[in-house]
Amino acid sequence: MKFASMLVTAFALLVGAISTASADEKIKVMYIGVPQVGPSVVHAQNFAKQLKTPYTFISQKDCAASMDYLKDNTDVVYLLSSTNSMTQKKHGIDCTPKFAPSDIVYVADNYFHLCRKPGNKKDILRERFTIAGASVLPLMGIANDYNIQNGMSMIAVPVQSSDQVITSILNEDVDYGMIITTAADPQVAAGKLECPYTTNPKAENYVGKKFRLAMPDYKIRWLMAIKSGDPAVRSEITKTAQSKDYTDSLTKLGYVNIRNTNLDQSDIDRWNTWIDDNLKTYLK
Amino acid sequence: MLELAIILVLGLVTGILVGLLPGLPAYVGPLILFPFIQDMTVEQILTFWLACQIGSQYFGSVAAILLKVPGEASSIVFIEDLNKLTMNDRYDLVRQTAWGSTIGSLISLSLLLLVFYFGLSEHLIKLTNINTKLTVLSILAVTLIYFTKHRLISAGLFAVGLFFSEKSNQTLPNWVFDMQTYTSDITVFSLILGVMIIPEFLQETFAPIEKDPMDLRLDKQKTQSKLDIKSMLRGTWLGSLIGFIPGPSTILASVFTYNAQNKDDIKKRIISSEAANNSAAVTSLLPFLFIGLPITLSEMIVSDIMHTKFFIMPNDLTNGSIFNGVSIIEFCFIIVGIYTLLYHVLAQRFLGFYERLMELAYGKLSWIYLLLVVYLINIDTQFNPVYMPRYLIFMAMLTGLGMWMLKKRISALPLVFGFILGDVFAWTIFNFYRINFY
Repeated sequence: MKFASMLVTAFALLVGAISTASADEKIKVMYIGVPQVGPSVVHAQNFAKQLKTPYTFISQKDCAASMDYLKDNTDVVYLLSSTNSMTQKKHGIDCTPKFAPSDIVYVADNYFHLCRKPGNKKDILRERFTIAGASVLPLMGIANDYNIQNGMSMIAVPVQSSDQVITSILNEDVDYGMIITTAADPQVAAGKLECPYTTNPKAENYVGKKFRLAMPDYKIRWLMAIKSGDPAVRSEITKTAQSKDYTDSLTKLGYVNIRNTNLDQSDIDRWNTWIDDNLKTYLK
Repeated sequence: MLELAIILVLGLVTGILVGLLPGLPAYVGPLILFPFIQDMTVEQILTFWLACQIGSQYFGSVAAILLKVPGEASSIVFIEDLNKLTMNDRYDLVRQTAWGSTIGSLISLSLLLLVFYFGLSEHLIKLTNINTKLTVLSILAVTLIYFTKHRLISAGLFAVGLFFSEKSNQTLPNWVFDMQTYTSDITVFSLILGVMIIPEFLQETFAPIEKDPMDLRLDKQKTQSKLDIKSMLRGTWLGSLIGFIPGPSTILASVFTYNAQNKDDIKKRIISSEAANNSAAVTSLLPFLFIGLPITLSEMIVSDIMHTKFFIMPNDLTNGSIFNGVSIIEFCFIIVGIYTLLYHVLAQRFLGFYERLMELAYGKLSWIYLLLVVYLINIDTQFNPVYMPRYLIFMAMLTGLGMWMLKKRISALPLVFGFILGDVFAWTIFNFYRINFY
């Protein structure tokens, strides 16, 4: 009897505690994907904090949970990254919601640098060498591409994040690292790393000028979209994304090719093509 | 300055709460900051975070030693041993561990100062390499299993924990992630609740162990033993070294040092593991503050916050100056020193409060435990998004397993630690192979 009464009390308390914890802010900001830390979440948080109206930041355990949340809720602004979408697609999970061109808030790209510790004189065209990269990247496929097309011996070493790539270079676990520009640039400025190549085609040291590769301009594509039927919410989101403060902050964080006006079906097509190309080229 | 003083006090209180209240790991501190970061300066953010970082290590052990509910994961290692100690011993242990924590933190802080003023950080980063990591993890696993009663079963439980822990290496085969669709609803804390806390609660409620009536009169019987400086120093040097290992370094330090001590002297083991835990918490700051590399979850969250503030680590830490030429990194050292001393005093003052809490608890334990379990589940699910039905089903299954293990006197620790360290193990073994043999 005592056990039953305690069980009922526990259940009632739990339901009460969980339901009172629900947020009541109108706009919900969510990053669709995993992990729920790192550059993707920084990006989404950075947007959320620029909003003028109260918002709540939604964390979900995985892609499927994010998609379920999106199905059951409105006034949600969500951020997608190409790396996560393609990794999930590789696992058989479609992590890209269906959206119309008018739902897109903005798109942006983030390139990568190929960096090493200053003083590392390894001849990467002739010697076996290791390269670290975040495991959400199709690193094995990329290394394979370098090896097959350029006769190199590159060994891919996937790690948790770009920060961990930097650690692995500095502690000499690996010779090179493929690092998102946002994380690499400060280390280069401090003299801790040197980055002889980059995937940004506009740069002098563009990797495509030195090596034959299927996708030399490798990048993370970002897409922010909205699900809302409320014109006030849509206007608030769009204004925030188009504000100078926000676009400046993205530029400062290393984002390029930012487009936040006149977005159309070709942007959706470009997004889908990029993911499919990645899957076909590097994750097949 | 007034704002900074307010943050100092808020950080102090939050650090105490994060440590005392079970279920709140150290990384909750920086998570709390997210809604406020736009209005806070970098110094205020760092102050608040350091307060939580140090406070959780101090007060986590207080909750563990007195209530037998681990306030932080690194205290789990000695929870079962507390049954063998009298209440008076446990009371004395809180004082000893407070001293151990202070000595550990201050010596590690001295190490940071030494490294900073002599420019040695570049050399220390090598301690984070894959070979050191694999060696420490292997020694940890072997010692953890070796010092249990049922070694074969413990090895099996450790392997089960490793297998079911959530893996983040996206290059692992698809079946790992298919399995995780379901098993990721087991969180670290739901596992601890299921196999350790709830079975003990049920045993306590329905088949209570007879208590020593003297337990309730701590005021009249409490005695203070001589400070065990040797154990504190032993824990400090091991903890300082293990603090450089990326990942759950405070847990590694705690478990490793605990098992490195003579197994017959429980008090020595706990004192030394707590000193190790605190010194690891301070030395783990070194790669982050000096090189800008976050190696713990808490540091990763702060690193994210710093990105959104456009604060470039580590450059801006040494370039910026707050007042009278004091750089931000030096400010961090001052904050660590101040909080260590404040927490040292407060951890001892809090004993009276806990003593009263313990007296109050006797006779009402069932309902207090019930509230505690509900509170822990609520906190856990707030910070770890899960599917609630699956979460509760898993917890019920784990509770059944925990009760069976309790009856057979099989330690659940290898299972818990296998689960906590599973992801680190998977990364380390995978990359060790690729770097050295592929």
